[in-house]
Amino acid sequence: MMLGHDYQFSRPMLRPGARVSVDGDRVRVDYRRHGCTIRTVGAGSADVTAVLTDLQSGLRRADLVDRHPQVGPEALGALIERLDDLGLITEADGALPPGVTSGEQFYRRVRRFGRALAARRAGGAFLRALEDGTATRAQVVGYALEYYHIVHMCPALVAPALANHESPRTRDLLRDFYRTEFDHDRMLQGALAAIGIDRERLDAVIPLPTTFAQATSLAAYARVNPLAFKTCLYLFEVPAPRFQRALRERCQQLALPEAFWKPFLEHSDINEDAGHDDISRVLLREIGAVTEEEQVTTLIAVGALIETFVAQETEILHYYGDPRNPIPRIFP
Amino acid sequence: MNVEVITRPRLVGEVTTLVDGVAIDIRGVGFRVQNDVYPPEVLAALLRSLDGRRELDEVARAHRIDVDHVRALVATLDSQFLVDDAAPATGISGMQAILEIEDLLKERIHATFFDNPFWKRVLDPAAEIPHDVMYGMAIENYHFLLRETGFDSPVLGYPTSAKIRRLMNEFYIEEHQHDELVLKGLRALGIERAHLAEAMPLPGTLALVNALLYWSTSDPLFFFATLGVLEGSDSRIDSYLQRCQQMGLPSDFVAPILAHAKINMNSKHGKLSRLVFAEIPAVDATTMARLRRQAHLFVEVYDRFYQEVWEYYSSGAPLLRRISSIELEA
Repeated sequence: MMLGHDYQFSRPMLRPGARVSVDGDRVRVDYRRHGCTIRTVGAGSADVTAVLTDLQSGLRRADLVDRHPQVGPEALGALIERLDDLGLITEADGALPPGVTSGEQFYRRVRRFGRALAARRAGGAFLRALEDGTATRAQVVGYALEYYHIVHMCPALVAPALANHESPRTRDLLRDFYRTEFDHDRMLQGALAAIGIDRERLDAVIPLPTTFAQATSLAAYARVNPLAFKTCLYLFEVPAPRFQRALRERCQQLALPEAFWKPFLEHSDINEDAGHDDISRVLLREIGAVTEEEQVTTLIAVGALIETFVAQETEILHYYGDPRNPIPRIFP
Repeated sequence: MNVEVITRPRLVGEVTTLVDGVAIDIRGVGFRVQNDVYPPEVLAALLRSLDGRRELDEVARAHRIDVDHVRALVATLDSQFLVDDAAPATGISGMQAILEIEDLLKERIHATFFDNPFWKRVLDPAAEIPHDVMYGMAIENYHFLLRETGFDSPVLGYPTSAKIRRLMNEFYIEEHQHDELVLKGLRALGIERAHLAEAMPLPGTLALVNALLYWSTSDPLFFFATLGVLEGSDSRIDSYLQRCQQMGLPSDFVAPILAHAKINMNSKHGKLSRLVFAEIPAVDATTMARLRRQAHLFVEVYDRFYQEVWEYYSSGAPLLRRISSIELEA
């Protein structure tokens, strides 16, 4: 059981502004509108005053015990506890534990971790299929549909993060991000209509599990883990000029209409122009301190998402590459 | 790209001098740095001296390289995540943070509750208090406890600290069914669960409940800071119970409520905020400013809760505001 225990001060100190005065066998501690009187017996008042004087400089608890052998550790502990009950004690030890780092410095760790993880997993299956010309029409359309799902769900995924208490600057950043993302699905709806998937059908389409996993990860972090949310955003916004080029060329080879592929390319240009590729860094810059446990939790989130992105490319090729599967994914 | 230049850069990776530039190798991934102005050996020496111990300006001076050039180089390296910032994180420890907030809460509570009609009378043995006010306090307390799972549960999965999760889950389990203890006391007055289920709490009670739910979902850190006050880290609950006994209220009513207070006291629930914050290694300045602002609001919301208890239950109005009886009047 963890409850029922009390915090042990490492360097107990009387709150700044507390005044100690002696009157015969009484020692008074006054702080703002309240205070306490400690009654002592015999020569005790000198001892108590000496302890209280030391308590004003915030010594380490062990040193305090050593300096007052006549009082003894138990009486000393009881005195500190009583003074603390009255709200008169604070902690002088303000050292941050090792591993605490700034948000922006953590971002550098994230990006290097991401790079190392990406190097371990052979990603880019869909990109290769585009570049070597093996991606079929159905697979390219499938990619577009999965991309649409993320863009379409984006406002609902991001909105909960707007409810979190954040610094005014962070709130502005998140609100601007939301504002620039909130109707991007409309331009893509036009694009999909150009290949015969109208809005009514589109609303009945469900995403692939890996696409859904990307969306729900972001949604979950927006609600319960703001640090992971801010950190993971970059994964959705990283510019990929080589991919864009390959996508355009493959669409042209497959004689897909310009009205279909152009809005998708334009959409990623908009994100880049809006500075969204840098969004995680800008958001993390606003965080002064990130603990090691927060960092590890977030790296786990980032790692899982990177692996999901890799898996999504394969899933797109498999699902949309199999003529037995319904395309678009509308199930009765 | 919006990159602010690092003041204490520390290069990651191994530097090798090449004929036409410098190579940086980081766990098998290679990067090339080329520069028209400075020869490779000068660049390599500069890069090797980015050890995080010296400020950027100092490094530039030591190598007699224009500081703007060094800045541009560091920014480029940073865009590829090849440099760290060795400047320490800023913030205070979680314990210092909660001790400051505790102090502020205490000061605010003393300042506002001193003028609160409910507490003014409870703390003054000579003041007249209608019995309904003490019963009403228990009724509103029941409404509050009944809804406690709603505002405690959002933090049970607190993702970034395993210890905080454990603490909150233990607390949650210990709090479970505390409303039943108060209900036992209210039964002594002939009030049943079914009556309470269709009774309107005072708006100030729901305001407190909803404020806590809002904080636990959107600002868990501040929610943790309120627990010490709500669970009675000071003597307020004692004062209420002492007054109940002094007024000679039936022991069937007082005893279960006293039992509830004792559980909280023995489990040191009043210290919960501290135990949680002891697990938070650092709180930055922006967060601290936010916690202070919310602390003021919280005490005001809490103060209104007690004010309304006094205003309503001292007015001679019925103890329960049952929906069915209001509808009968319509």
